[in-house]
Amino acid sequence: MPEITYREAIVAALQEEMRRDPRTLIMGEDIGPSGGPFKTCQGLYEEFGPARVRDTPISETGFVGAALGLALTGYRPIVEIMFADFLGVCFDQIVSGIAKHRLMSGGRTMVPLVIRAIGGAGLRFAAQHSQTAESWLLSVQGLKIVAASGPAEAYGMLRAAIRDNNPVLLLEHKALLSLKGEVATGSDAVEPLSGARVLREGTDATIVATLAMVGRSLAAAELLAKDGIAAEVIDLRVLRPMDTSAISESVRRTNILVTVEEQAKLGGWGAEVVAQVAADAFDELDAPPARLGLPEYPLPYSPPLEDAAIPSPEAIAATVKSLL
Amino acid sequence: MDLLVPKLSATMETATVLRWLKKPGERVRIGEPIVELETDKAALEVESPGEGTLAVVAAEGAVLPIGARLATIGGDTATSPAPTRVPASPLARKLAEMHGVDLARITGSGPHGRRRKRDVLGAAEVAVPPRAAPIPAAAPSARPLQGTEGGAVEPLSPMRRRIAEAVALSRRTIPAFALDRWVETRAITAARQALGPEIERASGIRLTLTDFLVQALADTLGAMPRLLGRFVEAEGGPARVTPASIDIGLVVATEDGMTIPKLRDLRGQSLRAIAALRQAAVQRARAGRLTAADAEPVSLTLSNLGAGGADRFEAIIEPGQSSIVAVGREHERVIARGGAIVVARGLILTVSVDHRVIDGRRGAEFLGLLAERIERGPWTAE
Amino acid sequence: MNLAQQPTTIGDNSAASLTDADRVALFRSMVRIREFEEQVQRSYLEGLVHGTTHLCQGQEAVAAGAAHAMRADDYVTFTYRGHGHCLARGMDMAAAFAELFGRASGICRGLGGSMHLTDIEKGLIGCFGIVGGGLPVAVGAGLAAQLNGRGQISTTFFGDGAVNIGAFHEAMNLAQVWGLPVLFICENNLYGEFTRINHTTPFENLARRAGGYAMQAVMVDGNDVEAVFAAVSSAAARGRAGGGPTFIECKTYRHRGHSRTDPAKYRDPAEVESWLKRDPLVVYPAQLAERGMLAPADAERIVAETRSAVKDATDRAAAGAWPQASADLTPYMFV
Repeated sequence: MPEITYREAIVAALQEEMRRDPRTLIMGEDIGPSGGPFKTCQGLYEEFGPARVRDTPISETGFVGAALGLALTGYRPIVEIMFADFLGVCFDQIVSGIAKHRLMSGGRTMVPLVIRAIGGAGLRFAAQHSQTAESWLLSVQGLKIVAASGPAEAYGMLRAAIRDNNPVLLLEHKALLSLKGEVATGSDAVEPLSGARVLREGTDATIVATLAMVGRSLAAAELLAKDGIAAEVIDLRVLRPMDTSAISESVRRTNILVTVEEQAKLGGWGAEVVAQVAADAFDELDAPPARLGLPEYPLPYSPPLEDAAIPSPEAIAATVKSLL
Repeated sequence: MDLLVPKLSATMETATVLRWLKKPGERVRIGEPIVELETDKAALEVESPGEGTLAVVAAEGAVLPIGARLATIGGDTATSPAPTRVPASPLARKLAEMHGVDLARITGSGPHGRRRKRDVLGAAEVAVPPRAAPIPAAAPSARPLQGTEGGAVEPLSPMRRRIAEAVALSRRTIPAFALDRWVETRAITAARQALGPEIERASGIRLTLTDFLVQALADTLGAMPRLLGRFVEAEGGPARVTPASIDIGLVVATEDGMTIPKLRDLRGQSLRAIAALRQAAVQRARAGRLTAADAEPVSLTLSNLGAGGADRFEAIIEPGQSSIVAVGREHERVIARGGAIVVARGLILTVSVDHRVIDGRRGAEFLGLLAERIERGPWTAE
Repeated sequence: MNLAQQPTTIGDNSAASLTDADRVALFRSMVRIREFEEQVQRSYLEGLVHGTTHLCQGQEAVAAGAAHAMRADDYVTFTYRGHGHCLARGMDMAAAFAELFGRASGICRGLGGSMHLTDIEKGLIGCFGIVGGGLPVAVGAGLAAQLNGRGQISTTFFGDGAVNIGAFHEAMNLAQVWGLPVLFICENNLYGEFTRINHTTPFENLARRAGGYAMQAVMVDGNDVEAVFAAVSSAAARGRAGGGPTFIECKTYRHRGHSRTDPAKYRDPAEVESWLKRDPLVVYPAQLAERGMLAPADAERIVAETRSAVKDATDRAAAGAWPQASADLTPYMFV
């Protein structure tokens, strides 16, 4: 199986789906001849032309709303949001328009669109350009939200999102763009978007994470293994609708639960996972579940401060140990 | 509210108050065992019907008829403070109940004295996966062989009295006959190796031969429900009562003799579930804490003397039951298989049945099915 | 650009292409809207319509005139004051009433309500409750029209209040930059909710806003149904031919308050009086009668027939079953 980067996986997914379905098109800032500021659309303009690969002015409300109009009239638009923080700009179009349209119409319309938002901290972009935005839209009924933790996930989930007939917000992480991984490109079959996935098996604790925190959790599991502690690491993958059955099943075996998210704990998905698992597997918990996240203040710029704010593998391992 | 002497068996007429488990004035919770009673069948714990302060009426040693008042559970009184709930993780609570461990009597290694899984399992002397000591096999009695000099007379303890009465009653009233068969245990041994580790890892319980025998019995009884029928003298005359659920008594040796807790609802149960039931039953029996459910009648009991020195033995049917399965020690012997002489490992099962309700043909059919089930499996682990 | 308050058109005067039958149809369309809105008002007082509703009496000429200039395969977006546009495009009245009454037989199964009437088969792709929210969506539909290459246009109706919100700016800019066949039809009734336009906007001739985008703009008397028809026809023709978007300001007035609960006491009675004299449902039949195109008796018959149809639709809607409270609505959310 070829090893490609997260970035290349996104390009491959876009290429394959745009070749497959002529109704797909992609819009965003600088994604045309420039291939996107993060090169996530490299080569698309050359292959598909300006009608299907459109550079937009800086107007998220305008082109995200336009994506809704395209979706309602038979097209399957993909929108790239350069920094997930900019979801704040087009928030209304998403929450009042895109997410609600189908239900308000009595199920008589379909909104097959994908919003790809590239976010995340760790690259010193400071407070206004470092959100993962996982929790910003978490409570919006009518929206699907997925988060890609690696190249295979970016590839598979993007293709599935494009084929999904519902609005999907796909969160990508800019610190993962150069991460390499094995990806089986080129097949016609695509797994539909579904729930959490166990990436590493273990018996002593369950760690749940998304995006860049998955890699850190796997590193934490390595550290714990040196002390004879076998941690099970689960990538949550699909935030909405959230299916924690695999996590509850894991906690029934390990009896210990830790969640790790790159955002504030207050209002984050970690609390939802804990609530669902506590309801499903209450009698199997041997310690109160713990959550790790960012501090309750906006992300600072200075490198030592930014690094301290993001949960490290050491911090994750220490939290697991404190529960055992 | 009042706590009255309950009717715990069909033949019971009186009960002796053996021991109060809570003190007068102590606060009791609903369902909490508060007194030990002895009936003609067994010693049992009786639970509080409500929440409140205990006021004892009947003294220890009192012999009372059914319905007599044992105690009253008073409403809230300002005098006794509410007892602090013992901190324990949900898992620890569940395991404590399963293994009959009193959370209040063990220490907790978690924060604020919270009882955790390892505290409960440690107290229950169960293997903590994966790196713990296995459950020690029942050690044979080390009593040296020597005669008693001087011929001392010691009255039989309540338990010994009870056993003496039961076996005599059985011999007097139940026309029993026995059937036996040698069964190979290699299928069980292989299954134990294949399935045991996973079950032990997941539940902390080590599978024993008894667990396999119980599953085999449950399946065979499921296939031949007639064997569950037992003889009763009903109003209209002699009758056969056949229960719907499959429950088995398990003989557990105790310091003073033996007691028979019950394994309930065994139809379709996995080895893992059976092991948990068996372990809990053994704990209850050894701790002397049988429940009212243990006093409910069953039709069949399993008596495994495999740890002892006998190849085979004929067990005595418990009064009120219709059969008992006796298990001798596992040993090697030379057998013929497919015309060739081989050395095989196995044990002898001896089934004794009440001829009033089970005749020879059925008994032999049952033993044949049971043997086949033991030798061929399949075993359901989860 | 002509800033005088006179109707102007681009290209030929398409009003000349109206037949007598067209004119009667325009009148009938306006009557239908008026009678529907009057009934909604009565139904609201009877407790059949819930929450709030936004009525467009006085503005019928814009809806009727514009709809008549469009094709069946054109796309339309509009606001919460959208009953008129839905009816002008042929939405079934009983289904519309049932939706306002919250019944399962409503056009949106009772899930949307007055502010969200949608009928995608009639090109009514969405009704947006957030001011300006529909404009970017209309731009997307305009892009679809351009990509389809069949000469469709995308029309979006909005009020004067929408020209100050961000979505308006972004949509206008996008439409012009991409040269999309979008008609931005502004129903300027001089009031954004309860506040008069002179307090919120630097000028009253909103067509001027289009200049900021180098976009073609027209101002018309929004109460003159034939002028509206002509302006929309021309702009549509231009868009279909690849000539880009047009901003059409329709000067008009609403007879009632902003929403059902608003008695509109913030308006100058003299202003209200002068606009009521220009009521299209009074002015147009008088003009048609004068030109011998529709006898007053026929006009009255049309009104009576419409009233009867409205009553019948109302009765059918009111007899409609309620949706089940225990039903799982997930299938109406996700495909």
